Amino acid sequence: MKQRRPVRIFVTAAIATATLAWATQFALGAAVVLPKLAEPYTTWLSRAYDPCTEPAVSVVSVHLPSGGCVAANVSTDNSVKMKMGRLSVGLRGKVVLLMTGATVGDEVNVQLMLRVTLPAKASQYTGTKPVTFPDQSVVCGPFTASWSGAIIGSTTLSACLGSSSGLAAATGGFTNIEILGAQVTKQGDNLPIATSGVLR
Amino acid sequence: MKKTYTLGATVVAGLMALALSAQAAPPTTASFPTLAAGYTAWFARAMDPCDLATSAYVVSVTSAHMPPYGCTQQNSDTDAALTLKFARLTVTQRGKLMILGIGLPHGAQVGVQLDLRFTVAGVKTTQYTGTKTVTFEDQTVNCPGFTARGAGVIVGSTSLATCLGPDSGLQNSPSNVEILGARLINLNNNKPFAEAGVVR
Repeated sequence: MKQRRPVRIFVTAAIATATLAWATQFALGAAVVLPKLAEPYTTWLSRAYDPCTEPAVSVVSVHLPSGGCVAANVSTDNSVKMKMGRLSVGLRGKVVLLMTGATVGDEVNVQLMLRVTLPAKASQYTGTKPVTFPDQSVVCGPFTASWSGAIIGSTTLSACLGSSSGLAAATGGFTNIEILGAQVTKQGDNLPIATSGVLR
Repeated sequence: MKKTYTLGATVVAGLMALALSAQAAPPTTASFPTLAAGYTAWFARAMDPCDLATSAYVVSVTSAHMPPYGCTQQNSDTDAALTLKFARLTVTQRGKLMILGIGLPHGAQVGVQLDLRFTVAGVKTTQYTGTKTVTFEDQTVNCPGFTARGAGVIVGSTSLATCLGPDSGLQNSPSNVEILGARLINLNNNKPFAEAGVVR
């Protein structure tokens, strides 16, 4: 009779542990752990060329794919010159572009493709829920080349997002911004001039 | 008088021929930049895209300065299992790829996936004599996996040539490499868990 009490406690503890594990499983499934730190996205810019969707030339050089396309700039720009370029999106939401080699008066934009997830209020829920928004193509700029051909532009993600500026709000580490694409485009026709990349 | 007339007609004909040839000349392609020294990305968490037309998780957002609709955060197409405190990827001008990650589970197998567009100068083709600058079809390359050590740390490096396998010649100089996307993959389920970005 004296031994029944520890058994009861043990059974209760086991049930409680199982319930907690079950509940935790659902809780973890709902919210993944965000990185504690994601510092600036910093990249040099390579030239943008038209994609090659249907290879038109047969390549005989070794260690290369057997087909390709002669480099072209039809859906990309070839009018704005560029010696080098550098783009960064900083922790505080600052977007900075540095380009050299352009012609005085050239106007360019920075175009970013973003997928933002952050806590937001939704009419279906009380309090806030982590919400992922449809991918946003945002345009920052325009930035103009000076007499030296240099383009030095600086703005904020909030400014680029316009009426959706709340997507760039700092929420103490809960605003998760995926940068799915980064380009520099020509103001006016929006043709890509440069893309994040390296020159070998 | 006759000589002057002949000279005038010759000049006009010459100018017309010049204008015609200029009109018929193929558009020039943009030249490579002189410098694009590297690509550095920190990683945000990868989330499922929100497609308002097809998603079953659409919510009406009431927070100010945000788009009116979003989806509750989902991680079905993306990984929800791995933890991550931070991760950083660098691709250098020399084609070296370095990864640093902290806060992963011990033994986690992590892959680096890059979306790349190569434009290579000096390529021999069967259609042209000499060499041409050729853009190749976009490549999604998977670099060899890295394993998290005891403390959940990943420190590794490889080369673009290794990631490219039989097409390693794509990264031979001179080559303009557009990095269209960069993500980390959980090799246990082949789902992305981190995408280049920032966390605020």
